[in-house]
Amino acid sequence: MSKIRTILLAEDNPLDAELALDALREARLANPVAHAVDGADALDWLRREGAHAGRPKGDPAVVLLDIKMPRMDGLEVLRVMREDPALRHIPVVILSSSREESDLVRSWDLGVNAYVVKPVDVSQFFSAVQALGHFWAVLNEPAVAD
Amino acid sequence: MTRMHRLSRGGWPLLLQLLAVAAVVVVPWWINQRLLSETLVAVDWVTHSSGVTGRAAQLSSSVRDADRALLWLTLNPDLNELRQQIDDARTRQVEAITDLATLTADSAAQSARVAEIRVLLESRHADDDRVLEYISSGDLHMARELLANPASMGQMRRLVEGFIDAENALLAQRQAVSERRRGRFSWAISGFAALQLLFLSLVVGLAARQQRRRTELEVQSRDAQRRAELVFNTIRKPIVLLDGELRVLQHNPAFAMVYAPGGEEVVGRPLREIGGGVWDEAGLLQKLRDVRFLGRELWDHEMHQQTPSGERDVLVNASRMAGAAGNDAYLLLTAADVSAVRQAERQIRELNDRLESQVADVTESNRELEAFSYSVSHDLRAPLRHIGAFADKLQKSLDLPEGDRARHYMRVITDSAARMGRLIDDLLVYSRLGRTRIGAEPVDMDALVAEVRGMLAPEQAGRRIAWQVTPLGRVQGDSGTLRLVWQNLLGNALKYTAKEEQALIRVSHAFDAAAAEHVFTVADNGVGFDMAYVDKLFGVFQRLHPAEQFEGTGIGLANVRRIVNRHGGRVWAESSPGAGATFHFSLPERPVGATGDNTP
Repeated sequence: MSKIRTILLAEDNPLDAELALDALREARLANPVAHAVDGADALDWLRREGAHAGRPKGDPAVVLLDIKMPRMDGLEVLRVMREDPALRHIPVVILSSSREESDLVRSWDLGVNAYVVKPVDVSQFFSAVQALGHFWAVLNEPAVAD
Repeated sequence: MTRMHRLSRGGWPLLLQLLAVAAVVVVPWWINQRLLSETLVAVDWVTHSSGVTGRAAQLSSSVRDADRALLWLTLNPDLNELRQQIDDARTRQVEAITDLATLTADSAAQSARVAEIRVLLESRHADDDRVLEYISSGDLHMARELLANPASMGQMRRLVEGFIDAENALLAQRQAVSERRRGRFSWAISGFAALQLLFLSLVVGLAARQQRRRTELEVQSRDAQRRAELVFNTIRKPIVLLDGELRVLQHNPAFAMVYAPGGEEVVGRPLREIGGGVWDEAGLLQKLRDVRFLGRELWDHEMHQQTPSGERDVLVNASRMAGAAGNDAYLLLTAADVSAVRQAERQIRELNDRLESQVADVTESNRELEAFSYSVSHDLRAPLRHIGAFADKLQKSLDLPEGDRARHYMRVITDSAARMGRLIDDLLVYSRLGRTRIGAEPVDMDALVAEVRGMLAPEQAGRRIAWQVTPLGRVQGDSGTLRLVWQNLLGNALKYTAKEEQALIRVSHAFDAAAAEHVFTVADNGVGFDMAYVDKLFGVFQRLHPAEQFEGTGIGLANVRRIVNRHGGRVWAESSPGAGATFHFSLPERPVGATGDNTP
């Protein structure tokens, strides 16, 4: 059986992080979830640098990015990932607080895979990831046994 | 007219002119000469004939003198005087007959007669000599006997008379011939005199016409010159004519007014000294020399001049003019005063700069507003989201029984949070509408309305709604925001007819040619509103109906007004409670571009 890949969640707001993690938990996914507290932390995790230098090797199944974050915002992380040949292929879902059109347009321009408006509704999230084409291959690993 | 023209230009070839002069002058002169010589010949002949007849009469009289003296001698033989008379008469006879022979050499008949007379005269002389011998010997009787023979006397008289008659006849004949010739020449000379007269009157007539024409041309030329001078002097643009050395030859009053307002003499002075040296610019002078020598025109050479009459911006134009004789060239220079234009341009530039800085200010404040609304949409929504989400979680974790009061409170908290989220979203949309660019592409309103009706399908489910939509045509505008207009107006029509058993929604279009605008109308048969509150209709968060009755945040019509205003149109409505509502909006045929909008 292949190793179940991690879902990386980058979210600075602890309440939003809690809600997202709850939603993922409710979806009963087997994937472990890593939580980065801002964009720079997320990039460190992806590149196994800084605080995450010692983490086991392996790309995440998907990166969930909040937009407004300190140090480096989600769109900047997305831009850097798409310019980095090592990270370019990783699916990215933007979790936005708003329906702000400019955010949506910039996200698409930067090559986002899906865009979900918070609070994260699990069904909404799944349909977005399904649309991504990765649902079965990436996320729909065997559910955690009840 | 054309011949006249040719004449006036001296068109007749020289040869023809000479021939004409010969015809009217030389020929009559020649005829006159002929006439004169003919007359002289006739006079000569008369003189000649009188000479001939005179000599003949002298001959007769000297013969008679000799006869008489001889007769007297027979009567007085001692009178020696008589012998002398006889000798003299005989000498005269010989002279006369010799002269006659010479004079009649031209006429054979008369010469013959003279010869006959000479023979007779000689025989008579012989007879007389014998009479004189008889007288000398004293035989007077025999002498008288010889003298009595009258035959020779009569014969001599007849011969001389015949000779004279013949000479007279000859003269008459010659005079007749001469007379005939003179008659002919006289006719010819009269004819030519008439011709001369005709020719002269023709010449005089032509000369008069030419003179008239010349006078006419002179008058025209003088008028044209006067008009040109008038234009030159009246025109307000300074004009100056320069010679090859760039000295002033002539100038108009406008030039003097600007460059020599003190009235100082300008003509003859070099251009660069005039007006306090405002023309003394190396570049300009070089260009003017190029105009003069290379024939290049000088176009709109701009100068800023400190003239004696004030500061000026001028456009200098110059071109070469061939001199009248073609051997020299003049320069015509004009100086158009464009100070006012330049001043206006400077003002426009200043205004533009000011406007640009204002635009920059507006852009800056727009950017700030953008940042503010961005921040609002993200940060203001976060606590709301948490209220809603965690209230929901609380409810789930409490697992309250159905109908519990706490469950109702939880519901109110989540609904309120959701409603506030919607209000924030709508407010942000409204705020953004005031700032985003309004496009001006062709918009198919029929397609747009059909699309919006499709979007509103959920609101129509299970209802009886009659749509009456007329063709709406195309407009110039921004399809994205116009879609929002239809969404709001049709959405409202659906919303406020929700309680009607049979809803009727009419959508129509009219073109107001006078105002050059399209007018769209949405009419429904819903609850309508009181016209007393029509002013509140298009305000933000203004509602004419309680939210419990009709859903909505009260910002839709404010958005409609903002969008329509930004297209350069208007929006208005009419209604009465229970009688349905009618909304109109107009769009200009040609969009005015993105206009500012000051509505809050």
